[in-house]
Amino acid sequence: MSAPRLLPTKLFIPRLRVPLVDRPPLIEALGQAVERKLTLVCAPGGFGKTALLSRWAEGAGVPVGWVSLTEADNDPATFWLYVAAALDRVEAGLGRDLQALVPSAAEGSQWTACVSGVADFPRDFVLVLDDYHAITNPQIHRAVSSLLDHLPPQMHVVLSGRADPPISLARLRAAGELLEVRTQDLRFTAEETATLLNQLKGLGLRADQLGALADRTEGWAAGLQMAALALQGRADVDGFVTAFAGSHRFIVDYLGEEVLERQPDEVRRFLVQTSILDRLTGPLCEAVTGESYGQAMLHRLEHANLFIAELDDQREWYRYHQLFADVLRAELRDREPALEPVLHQRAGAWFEAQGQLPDAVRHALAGNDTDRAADLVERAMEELLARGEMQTVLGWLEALPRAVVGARPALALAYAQRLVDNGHLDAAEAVLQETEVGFPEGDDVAGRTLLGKVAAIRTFIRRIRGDLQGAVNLGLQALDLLPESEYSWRGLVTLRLAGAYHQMGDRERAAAGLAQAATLNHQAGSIYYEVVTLYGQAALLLEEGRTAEAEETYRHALRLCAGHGPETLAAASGAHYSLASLFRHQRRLDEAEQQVVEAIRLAIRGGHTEARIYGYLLLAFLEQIKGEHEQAHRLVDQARSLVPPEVAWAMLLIEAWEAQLWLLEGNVAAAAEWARTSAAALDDNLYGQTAAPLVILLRVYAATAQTVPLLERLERLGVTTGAPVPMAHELHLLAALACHQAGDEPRALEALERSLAVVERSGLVGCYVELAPWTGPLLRWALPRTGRAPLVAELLRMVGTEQPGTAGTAAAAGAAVRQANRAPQPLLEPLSERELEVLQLVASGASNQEIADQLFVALTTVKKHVGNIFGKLGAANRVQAMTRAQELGLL
Amino acid sequence: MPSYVIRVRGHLSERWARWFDGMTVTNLPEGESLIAGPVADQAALHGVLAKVRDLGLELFSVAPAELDQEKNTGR
Repeated sequence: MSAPRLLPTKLFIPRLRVPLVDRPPLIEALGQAVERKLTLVCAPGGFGKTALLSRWAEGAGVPVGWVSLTEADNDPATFWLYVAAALDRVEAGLGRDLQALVPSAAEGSQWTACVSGVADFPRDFVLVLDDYHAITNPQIHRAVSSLLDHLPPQMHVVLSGRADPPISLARLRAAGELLEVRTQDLRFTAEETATLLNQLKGLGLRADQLGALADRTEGWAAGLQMAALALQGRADVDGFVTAFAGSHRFIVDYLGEEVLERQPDEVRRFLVQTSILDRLTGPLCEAVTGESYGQAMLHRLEHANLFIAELDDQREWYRYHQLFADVLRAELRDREPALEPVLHQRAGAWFEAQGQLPDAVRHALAGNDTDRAADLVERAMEELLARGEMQTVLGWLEALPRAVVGARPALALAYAQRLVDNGHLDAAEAVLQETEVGFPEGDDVAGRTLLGKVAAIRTFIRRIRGDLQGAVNLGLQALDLLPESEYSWRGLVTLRLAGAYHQMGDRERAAAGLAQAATLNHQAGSIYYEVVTLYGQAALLLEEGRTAEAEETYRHALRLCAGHGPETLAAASGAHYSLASLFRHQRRLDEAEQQVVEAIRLAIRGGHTEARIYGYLLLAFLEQIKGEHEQAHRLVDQARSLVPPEVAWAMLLIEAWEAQLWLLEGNVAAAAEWARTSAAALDDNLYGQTAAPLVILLRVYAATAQTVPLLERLERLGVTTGAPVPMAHELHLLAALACHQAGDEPRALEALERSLAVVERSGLVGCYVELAPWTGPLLRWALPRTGRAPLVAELLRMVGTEQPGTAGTAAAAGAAVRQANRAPQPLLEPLSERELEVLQLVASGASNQEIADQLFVALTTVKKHVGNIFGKLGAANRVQAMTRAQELGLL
Repeated sequence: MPSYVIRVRGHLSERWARWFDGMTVTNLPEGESLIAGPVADQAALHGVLAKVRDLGLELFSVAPAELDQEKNTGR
């Protein structure tokens, strides 16, 4: 049975049994933490931050969740699991959403589940993250920043540490939402020094002696504590104080030595040897020291106030104050350097026997026991990966010597895969090469499996690099080597192979591969890849114009997702988006809107920024078609705000959709300008991320009669030669427009017929209507010449009633007039994203209960949001709120 | 490998040399100390600074060895 994964000791609010100096002014200052979003307690070690916070937490009057952070929490999965557990301590179930999301969460998105999970909690509460300086992973800093930006009003955060956290504080400070307790505040006053040394420690020092100590330590709590320890039972107090006050020696050094020297031998030995431990308990200490009085010794140290703190309620687990531990460790390293690794090995063995594998690994690595560490990693790996703690595993694999990893196929493969996931393709190749060298071409199952997996990872690498033929070769090799029972691996390889075939234009093999992959991934139980396979199949169907079957495939994917939890949010969002896109191209606009709104909703819930961007852009386009130009552009801006400008593909995409909006508005000049500046960045690739912008570019060419570049591109893409392409209905239409513009009537007709053939069986009429000003003349010219007169006539009818160019201008003019008549006062406090969501639903006529159902929150939460919205808008009822919201352009 | 000199307040005893991974510790008359030696790269430098911080040493300056030398000879 495996030991519990999370250490309860990290969630325990630390308690020092030593009598502490009461510091009422500081406790009072901290009282304001419940009125601010963020409280920072920043000072070097030993200033009493933890002691102060834990004391405050006891009497705070609000529930407090606590996490004592360590380096190991730099894995975002680990970090958020502890936050979830701390929330559960505030109230059972508060962290449930967050905990469920962690294993599958998109990078940097876990904070959203934290926010949504606590949104309904009716009382104020505090989350304390102690030793926050241990966190160095910028991903976590960004997430904490985002959390603070969206912090529910009842939640308050305290970050305590030795350095200011590298997050942006300016805004919080300006809004009065930041409380700071800094080094200067934490220094002991003369009075407090007297209380500590004379009253609590009973030292009976004179005022001048107290003064000398206060001066020398500058009010540093740890220094004073150490001085007290050094003075206890000492005869020559004056001598000590004078010597200490007059010394330049680093306080920790001086006093640390003094304190250590005065300890009996067995105590000193115990202290020095157990200093390697992050947390201590009797049996563990006995294992490390080889002595038999572990727990008794710990209680003795506690009694003597030797910088030891409790980690639980049962006096079982303790830890040393970090400064003291550092002195001890330095002593160990200095006097008995050869002993240190041995002690770590003993500790590692003890943790392993307890089933606490992560600690066992850490100590094994620190003890240079690389073979044991590697064995432990192999054992612990699967469980950690299943929990999403990939970075922890990667960290361990990188800490192990390459030769050790290379000698263990499971580790080497895991390492290579993690490297591929993180984009380090060359490094992954290197690891694979080493693995191969270590293993002869065995004909046994184990040998073939290993080589098959190596080939599989190589397939992925080639695919990512765009080496299609290479991917195919290696993929086939992998399938040849992998045993039948390796469903998961075979499924993934087959999927990637199918993708390569597709891009190479081999539809038949692609379709066959996808069918196989669907079965394999289903057998492997990997729903995510099963859904991805379905997408591949749908894409193929769409290319052949088999839209009804494609639609059914997406719906099938949605049904698959419905049976599962939050890990399928991304997949479900994608399916809704794909349906929305299909419906848009079929001119089923209401259904398209329904689907894209759902796609966005799921993307927000799952924290998938990419999916949100796609969603907003498509929704913007649908709004534009309705004539809602302002709303459309607002949505584009919203998409833009989600991404930093350095993310090139996203900028390309957003600007392309924006250009398409201009085209629909009749602002052809702006669209042409975009085309001019962006053409060079768009490759001749209809399958990659730049495919959508590329098609938009071609539209703009057609609209601006840039026949030559248009025909050139279409030629290079294989459209004019009749090769099978995605979006065939639109590309052939564009070819027809180009040829017609160029005066090449026969070819224009040929291309148009190709397009119509697809439109006939697929219903993909959208592009004709969207390009109405240009398709109209073309269709009128073609009507007497075509073999598909009824279809062309129908298209003409649709195109005739829609004049997006002029309608766009008229609508824009109308909007401009409305704008001029408004005098919107900007809101003092803008609505939060959640409140905007609720507002839209209110505007759509939904009742509070309906809103609660749609957003998956409690009715009380909805009412609270509505109340806040009214407040911010200065409205007394829904009607007033709607009017005001419209004035402000929020709807 | 580049060398750095870190200047802190207070005198450090010999034992800390090993703590700072083989750098040398020199106590200066004005009550300051120098922790000096080769540092593999920037990441390692930040590691040393973290150790300085975690010991509660007051940090005065960090400089590459040559620059610090110039400062000294300029006196």
